[in-house]
Amino acid sequence: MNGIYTLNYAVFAAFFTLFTIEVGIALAFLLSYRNKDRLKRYLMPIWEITGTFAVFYVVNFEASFPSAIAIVGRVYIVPLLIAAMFFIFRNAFIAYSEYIRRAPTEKRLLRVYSVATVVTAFLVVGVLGSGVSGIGINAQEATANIYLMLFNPFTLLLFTAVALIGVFAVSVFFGIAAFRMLGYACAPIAVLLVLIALYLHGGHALSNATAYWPLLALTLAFLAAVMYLGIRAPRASQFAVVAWVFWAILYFGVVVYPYWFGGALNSQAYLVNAVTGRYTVAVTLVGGALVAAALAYFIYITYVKK
Amino acid sequence: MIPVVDFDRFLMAFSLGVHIILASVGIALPAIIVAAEVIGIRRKDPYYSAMARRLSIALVVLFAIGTASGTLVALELFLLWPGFMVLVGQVAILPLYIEVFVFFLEAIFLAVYIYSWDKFKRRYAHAAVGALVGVGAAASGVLITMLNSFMNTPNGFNIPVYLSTGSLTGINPVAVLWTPATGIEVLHVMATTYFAGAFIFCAYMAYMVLRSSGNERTYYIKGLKLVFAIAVIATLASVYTGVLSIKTLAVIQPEKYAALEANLVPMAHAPEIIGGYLSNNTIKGAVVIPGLQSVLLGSPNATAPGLSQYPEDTWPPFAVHDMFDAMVTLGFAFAGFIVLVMLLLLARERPFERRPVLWLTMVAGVLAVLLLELGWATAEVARQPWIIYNVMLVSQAANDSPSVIPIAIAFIIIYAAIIPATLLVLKRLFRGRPLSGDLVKG
Repeated sequence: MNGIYTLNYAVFAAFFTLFTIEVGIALAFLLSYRNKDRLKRYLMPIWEITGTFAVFYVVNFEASFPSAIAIVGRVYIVPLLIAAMFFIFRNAFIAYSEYIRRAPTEKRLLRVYSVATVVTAFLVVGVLGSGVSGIGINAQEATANIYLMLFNPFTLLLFTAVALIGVFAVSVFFGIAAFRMLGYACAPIAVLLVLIALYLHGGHALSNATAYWPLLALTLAFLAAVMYLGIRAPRASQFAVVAWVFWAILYFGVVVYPYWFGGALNSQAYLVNAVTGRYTVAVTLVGGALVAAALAYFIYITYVKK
Repeated sequence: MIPVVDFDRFLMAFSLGVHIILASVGIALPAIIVAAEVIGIRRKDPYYSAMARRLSIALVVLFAIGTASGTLVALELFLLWPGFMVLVGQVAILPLYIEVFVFFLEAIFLAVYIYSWDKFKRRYAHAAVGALVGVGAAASGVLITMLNSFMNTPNGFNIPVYLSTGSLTGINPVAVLWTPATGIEVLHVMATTYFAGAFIFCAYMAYMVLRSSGNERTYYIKGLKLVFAIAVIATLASVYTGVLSIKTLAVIQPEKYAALEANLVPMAHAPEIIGGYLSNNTIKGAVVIPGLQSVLLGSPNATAPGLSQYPEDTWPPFAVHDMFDAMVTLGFAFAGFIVLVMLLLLARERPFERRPVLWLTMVAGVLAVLLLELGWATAEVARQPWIIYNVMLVSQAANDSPSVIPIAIAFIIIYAAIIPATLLVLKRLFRGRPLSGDLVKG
């Protein structure tokens, strides 16, 4: 895989790992509100960092594939701007709920936050899904059918898988008893749904999935290990489940590489020039190291230090 | 039928117009909070410590809205101006890209600062984390302004080759970090950002002084003194960098300068033209001060550039001249207000307890926002019709998909709801959190 592509996809995977967990939390707020306090203890310090990862991905995409901006801008202007609207609601309502402690109001605010988060996720998955499958998109004329783009079996299967993985991650991460059986059932179903989506899609993604079957085997083995840890060593499973979600998203990236829009475009043709690419990689390494150090400090102060 | 490019312009202008207010608050507020916290620790003054705690709540809520609005602007850049971002991505992405990491660090340190307040045994260490939030916020402003400087004075690639063939050659992404406009533009933008942010809080504190009594009144008077001190420093810096900025503009963007000064032709001993309107290629209704413009450029004999040196179809709209004059007039009004308060302070007249001064401070808060918007709009409109000066027209950069129109309308409605809702939430927050509780904690 090309280095710049890999870096860009890794940034996406980091963002989407955090966001998938947040989707799980949003669903938990809607389905099992009584665990609110435990979920909020995790969510409150990290929601803004998740949001920052979204900005990071957008700018990293602009830096990695500048020539693709023209087509992406035209094709995705509607879903991405609507996603941005719901992202504004997500930010606003989580911040409001943080300080408004009157129970009924807090519940209402968290419900709005949850719905906004789930809708944002649906739109983001819609963009991702159509970026892979090309359904609803005419890449040559840079036009899109929004309805088809969002409501097709490939995208719907992917979105359902993301929601299920979110529920699984939350059930393991927070050890919520009421969620445990449901959560553990969710993960294998999610993997199955992704495989069905790839099968339906066919094309290069299916042939990649077949060719890289050891990676799929590794993903499933890793999942089994996370589930085992969830029962035997809950604390270790908290980190393991985050790592698995990240890994699973990376696996998906390997499978769909290197084509966009169902094979209509090759991402390699849209890469940034070599000179600018060198500098952006250097900035990523230095900046990434600084951010990693700061995140380690954040985790120590917030979750470890008494 | 309005062209789609004008909707693109409108949506971007609206989003940025809202974002720069949030950004100026987001940049000034950490400085205010850290100053309050440090004073509180040094003087063992519970009022300042309480101020730091209470204002940090506002910072979180405003950061949430600011982050969302910043994300929206980042998205709009490539959704509305794909032609522009293709060039920026190949040549000038470094400021934007570095800014993301700075923003990241700011978000992380903000989370540490807010959510781990009581885990710090050494309180100066906590204040230092707050200072890192402030540095991150300021650095974000600096880096974004660097990209704007590139739009004003592009470099970092072979422009003649690009204009003749459309090919990008001779790319030097590092050169973009220091264009001819960067130094002065960064200084002026940062000074005016702190100016506007500080005056917004001056207005809030003044309003609360008028409404409160007892302990609360003491708290808000102390707050007003602190924020006003920051506002004074920022105002002086804004005036100084503003004068330098206009002199630099005459050299690096003479066409823009000529439009701001309403110079139709280049001339020595140029007069300062204040106000007026354009009719049949002559300026009418203006106040003219002979020779002043050349004097301000450094010498009575200095030649001021004129619009006639450039093709008429690249002239910015004449309105920028009046916008510029309004901005300078307001700047003078602020200088006068500050002098008045200083004189009252020297005369030990306790200006921050006088109703007329408090009312004037509230008006100043509103005018500071107006001035910020006016300054930004003047700078941007005066670059029209270029998105990248002398390289790319706005129309060449725009997304001409008509689907932007309903979304533009929806965004305006959302912003119109979110901003007042946020202010309402902040009001409820402070009402439901008595000062006495924070004074005890402090």
